[in-house]
Order: sequence, then C-alpha cells, then structure tokens
Amino acid sequence: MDVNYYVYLGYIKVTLANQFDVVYRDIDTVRGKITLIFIEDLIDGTRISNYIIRPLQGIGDNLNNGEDIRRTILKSTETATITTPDSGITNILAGNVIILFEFIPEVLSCDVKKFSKRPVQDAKIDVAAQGPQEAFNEVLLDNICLLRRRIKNPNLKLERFIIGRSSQTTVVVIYMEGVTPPELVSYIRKKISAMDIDFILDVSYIGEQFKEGYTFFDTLSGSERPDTVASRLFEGRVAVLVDGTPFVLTAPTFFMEFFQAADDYYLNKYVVGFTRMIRVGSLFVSLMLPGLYVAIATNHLNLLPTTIAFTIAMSRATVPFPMIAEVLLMLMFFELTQKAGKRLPAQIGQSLSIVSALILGQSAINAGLTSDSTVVIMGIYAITSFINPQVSSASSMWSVFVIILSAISGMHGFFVGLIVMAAHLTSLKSCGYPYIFPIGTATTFSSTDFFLRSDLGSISSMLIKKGGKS
Amino acid sequence: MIAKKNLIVLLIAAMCSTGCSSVYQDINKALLVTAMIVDVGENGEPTIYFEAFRPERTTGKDRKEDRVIYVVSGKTVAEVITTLNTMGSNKPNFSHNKIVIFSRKAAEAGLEKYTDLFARDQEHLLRSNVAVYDGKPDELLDAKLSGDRFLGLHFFDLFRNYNDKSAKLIEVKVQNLFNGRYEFGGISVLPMLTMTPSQHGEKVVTVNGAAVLRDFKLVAVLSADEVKDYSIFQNTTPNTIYTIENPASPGSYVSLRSVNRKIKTKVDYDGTSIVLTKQIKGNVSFWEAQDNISLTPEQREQLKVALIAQIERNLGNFFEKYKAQSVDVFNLEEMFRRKYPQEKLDNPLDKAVLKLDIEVNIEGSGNYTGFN
Repeated sequence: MDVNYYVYLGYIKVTLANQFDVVYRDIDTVRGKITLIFIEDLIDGTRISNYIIRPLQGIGDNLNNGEDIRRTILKSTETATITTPDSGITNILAGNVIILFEFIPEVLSCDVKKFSKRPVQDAKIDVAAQGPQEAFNEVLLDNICLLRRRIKNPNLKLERFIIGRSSQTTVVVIYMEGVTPPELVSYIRKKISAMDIDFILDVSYIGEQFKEGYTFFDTLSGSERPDTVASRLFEGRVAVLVDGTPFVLTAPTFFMEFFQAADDYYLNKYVVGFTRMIRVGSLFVSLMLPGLYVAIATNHLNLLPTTIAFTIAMSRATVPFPMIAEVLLMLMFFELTQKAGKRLPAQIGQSLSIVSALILGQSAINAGLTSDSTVVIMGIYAITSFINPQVSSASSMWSVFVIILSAISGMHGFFVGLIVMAAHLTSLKSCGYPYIFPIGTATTFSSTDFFLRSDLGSISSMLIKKGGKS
Repeated sequence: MIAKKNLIVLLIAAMCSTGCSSVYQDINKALLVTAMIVDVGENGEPTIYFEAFRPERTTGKDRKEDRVIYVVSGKTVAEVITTLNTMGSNKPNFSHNKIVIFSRKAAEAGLEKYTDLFARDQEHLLRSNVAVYDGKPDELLDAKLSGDRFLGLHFFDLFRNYNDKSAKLIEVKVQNLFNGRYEFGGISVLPMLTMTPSQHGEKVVTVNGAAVLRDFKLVAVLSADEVKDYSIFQNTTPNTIYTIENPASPGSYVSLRSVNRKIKTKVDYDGTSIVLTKQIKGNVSFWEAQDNISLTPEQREQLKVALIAQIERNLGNFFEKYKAQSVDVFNLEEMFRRKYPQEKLDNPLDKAVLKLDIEVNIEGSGNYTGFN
C-alpha cells in the first residue's frame, strides 16, 4: 500500500497527541526528509543513532523501495514493512521505531527496544537452600531464555497470543510436543484464544479463566522458578507466560503439589519424604486443630484430661467472650497480622512482630481478652499454616467453617466439616484433570513423586500422560 | 444434582442427630464436679457432698484453681442435683467426676435408692471409681491428701497407679458395681476408705479392706489381707506378696512376689456337690529376706511347701468363712448358673467345695539362669 508521508504523519500526530515522550525526529537527506517516530523511554538511544540515523543520513539515489533500505541501510536486527497507520501506532507503543520517507511511499519499523528491567534475581517465594537460585523476572524474553537454557529440545514449542483489547499483552504457551497430551494443549489454546478482556496485567488474569467451580483453593498455580517450570514441562504439563509477570502458570495443577518444594529435588529423598509428611500433617493440623479445640472444650468436656480441663478453665476464667468468639477473634487477629506483614516494608516488619507478640499475645491475656490456651492453639495454627503458604488462605477459610460447625455440634460438626471439605476437594478439576490426582486415580498411576519422592531418574517423566484422567 | 441434594439432606440430618450430650458449654462456665460423697440423713433421704472445681476470675499470676464444696439434701439424687444447680454460679458438669463414695451408713441402708441416676443419666460417667467410706463425710473432705487438693483426683491417681501393684487394693468402677448387682448372687465388692492416724498425728485417708454389698446392701467387710485372697479368687491383681517364715532363720521372714501367675477357675457339679477348682500356676520371686538365707535345694523345697501350705490355708479359710455367711464373693453362683442353667438349686454356695491345685516355682530376683 502506498503511503503518503504527510497524511500518515498527520494521523500519527493526532492519534498520539498529548503524549510528551513521543519523539518525532526529522533527518534531512539529499533526497528529502525522513521522520523517525518512537517513544523515548522504550528505545536504546545509542542503537538508534548508530544503526538507524547515521546510515539513513547517507542514503543514496539508488535506493527506491523499503525492502532495499531494510537490506542495505538499516543495521537493526529486526525490521519490517508496515502497512496500515494503526499497526504503525501499535509498533510505536510496543517500543519500535517507525520510519517515514518523504520520497518513498512505504513505512518501516525497527526493533531497538531498551527499557529498564529487573535483572534475573534470586527466588523470593519459592526459596531453595540448594539447587538453582534464579527466578523469573518481568521480561517475557528473559523468562523464555531461562527455560530454553534448561530445555534444549526442538520439541519445545512456544505459541504466542496477543491478549487484551487495550493492553495488547503477549502471552506465550509453552509445551513439549510428544510429551504433553494434545487435548490439553488445545484446551488451553482454546481458552486463551477465547479470552475477551480489555487488558491483562498479570498471569492471574489467565489463571482465572481456568477456574472451575467456586473454591478457595487455587486450581491453577505456577512457580517463579525456571527449574520447577522446566520439570513440569518434562512431566507433560503446559506453561503459560505473560509479559510483565515474573510468575509462570503450569497446567494442570494438582493439590499435592502444594506440599512439594523446590529443594525437594536437591536433597536426600528420605529427608524429603519426611518433610513432605510434615507438610501434609501441618495442613491437617492447621485445618483441624482450632475446630477440634472448640469442639472438645465446649461440647465434649469429658474428652479432656482433667488437669488440662482445669488449666483451660482457669486460663479462660476472665475471658468475657464465648470460646467460639474468642477463637474466631484470634484467627482474625492472626490473619490481620499476616496480611499486614505482607504489605509492610521489611524495615518495619520487626515493629509489627513486636506489636503482634506483645499486644496480641501477652497483653491480650493479661487484659483478660483471651486465654493462654487459645493463644497456644492459635500459635500452633499459625506455625502450621506458614509451612504451606500456597494453601494457607484456603485452609484458613475452611478452618473457620470447621470451627463454626464444631461449636454448633461438637465433634459431630467437626467431622461433618471435614467430610464436606474432602467432598469439595474431590469434586474439583484442573484443566479437566482431577484436582486431588493421584488420589482416586491410582489404578493407572504409579506414585513416584507425591507423598514420597522416588529416585530422581524415575520421576518427572510423562506424568500426565501416564497418569491419565479419571 | 440429585446427588448434591441427597448430600445436603444427609448433612442436615447428621447435624440434627447430635444427641443431648453435645450442647455448647464454655468450659470456664462449668462447675466441674470431681468427687461425690453420698450419705443418708435420719429419714433415709440422700445427702450428697460435691467436691468441684471452679476457676477464680482473676488475671495474671494470681490465678488459681478453686476447690468448692457443696452439701445438698433432697428426696432423690436427681432433686439434689437440681438443687445444686441453684447454688453455684456455674452449671454442674459431671463429666470429670472421678469417684462416687458411699458412706458406710448409706451402704448399710442400701444403695438401691441412690444409684439409679448414675446409670441412667448420660452425663454421669460409668468409668468413675466407686468406694465405701467408713466415717463422717466432713472428715474425708477435710483430709490432708499428699500433694493433692482434690479428693477425686487423688483417688483417681491412687487407683490407676497402684491397682496392679498391690493385691490389697481393688479398683471398682460404676459399671462394675452395676454388673455385680445384676449377676447371680448380686454381690459387689467395693474398696473401703478409712481415716487412719499417721505418725505425725494427722489423720490420713487410706484404702483399707473392702465392703461387700449384696443387692446393694452392706453384708460384710473384708480386711486388707482378705482383699488379697479375694484378688486371687477374682484373679484381678497379678502382684501378690506372700510373707512366710525364713527356713534358714526361725523367727524371721521372707517376702516373695508372684510373677506370671496364671489362675484357671472351673466349676463342676456332680449332683451332690459343686466343686470350685482353682488352678494356680506361676513363679514367685524373692523380694526380701530377713536375716541370711541359704537357698539349698532342700530349703527351696521347704519354702515351696510352706508357701503352698500358706496359700491353701488362707484361701481355704477365706472360702469357708464367707461360705458360712452365704456371701458369694467367689462369683460361684454366676459361674454355676452359666454352666448348668438347667439346675434349679436355691443356694449353690451351700453345696460348694473348694479344690486347690497350686504349682509354684521359686526363682531369684537377680540372676535368673544362675539361680537354678
């Protein structure tokens, strides 16, 4: 399509009006004017001077089309011919430079992007004592690079999608061809393609599309660690990367993954087995302990040893609230402290600890607002819920449910609560796979990396394909 | 959808089927009864002494457990408990009641009138201990207990910790009391508590002998030594201590402790007499020897003969004494009726004879292999 220099330039100026960082750089040559349009913050000034402006200043009479200029003049790695004014705008906003010629009816774009970014740093959430330390950052290409360094295989496929009507965000779906079930890839491809959304800023926008049913549990999660994502790709899962997010989704997600940690694969397998048991046990403790405490200390006093009954009764003597209110109040205080701790800068985290320990702990007891025994129970609850951070939010919600049922009906309510939760968990699915896999699908699955970790050579191999769907 | 509806209906039904015992009660609002002493008044009405725990409403380090005593009378035990509800600020809770003590006066009058509630009311535990106290309840409640403030907890620990270590002490729960009552013979044997003066002049409460109830009425009192014989008849306590004369040193004694004792009991009826056979086999170990002892084969044989003779004598005397009183502490009638349900004897104990078959092996307390 022939481009009229003045019409095109006018259109861009109108469209990008009131944007101070858009630069219109004119170059006068012997043949006429050339205008470069770019956003100052998104380009590399040195590269634009050396690889675009300087060569263009010396443009001769022999070059009469864009293709020749791209091949012989421009020294940028990636160049393209732009056809419509709107794609020109998109290129400018994406950090490319577009070039308008007064004497050639074509528009070219060059990639000389450079923007401030966080370097590849240590993992902050999924920390491992041993093994690789690096984590994803916000730059999509960096993240892909981290994965490619680990999987040098031509079967590693990367499919790109542009999602978000306004944000035009790049989303990349990665999988291992031949390992990942094709129906899983097409399911994810279909879901992402069907997304009709104005903008996406994080991978959670994608994750929410895959949520099935109403649940507090994350039916799709991921990792900030390239080694973890790479191992999941080898297992036959699909990774979803979103530009601007240092977190990569892996699908499907199984409940048991929340008890696996990155350094499980870098430590002695027997130690790992023991620690996983502790993690699973911790979930049960955090789910059950407050409910059990309320059930026994309010409905089944006869189940308490007499000396403990005396101790609890003495410690609660001055507490003005019923035990159910006291426990829920302490649970709320704990959640508040936890949420405040996440939001606070590290420098004042210590102050929060002091406030929590002194005010919520000892002072609340002395003031008669809570009892020693409840503080001990909630302390154990807090510690055990910290052990599995990925399920702590969901487990605290279910804890409240179990506490309320326990207060109403004692042990009866307690067990009803647990049964309801178990039924709920078994009903969940992640990308069509049972969420509590391999539990319930044991006929086709040999458990090599769930409760216990087998030898590294025998795990992480086509898990999804071998496991099958129930 | 149908499955979901069914599940919801099932859960609601389950939530509604919790029974009366599961009622919300804050533990600090409960008056935790730890012991009950049942006495009778002049007109036979029950007077119950409740020992209970109620926490004091103070904060900080001054907090302490508060022992409270209530004495309540009424026409029935239920009426007494209803009255108790109006006396304390907290609602009585009997799920931590460790012992129900009947005064000797109540036992003599008969417990029939005072025990029904303990079996019928779900809040009262069948696992609480039962005993008979020979004395005034006030004295018992004021008794100095070694390190304990609560009578209930003291006896709970005493029976739990020493039951299998001393043949002179028997442990009876509420459930055993009712079992005995409804078995043939209707005999229940309960530990007897008495106040005895200690060396420091203070009175201390001890378990001393046992009260024998027939149809919930006191008919005999076993001495502490007789409780030992009773334990062998019932085969309840494996550790029996036998004290016999030292064959190497006349005038001094040797204490032997039974080890791995096995007792088999058999009842046979030949139409004229009922033979109660007790086959006792086991080892005895040296526990103490006054003066020196030289365990030559002859002396060991002497000890063995003396020990068997003592066991035979004690058990024989015990059997004859209570047979003469028609008090079936041997559980003979129950065994007889079960084995010969077609026989219509009025009082099987009258036709009973005791046959003892005792085998004892004496072993050393230290080097077992070298000893033999």
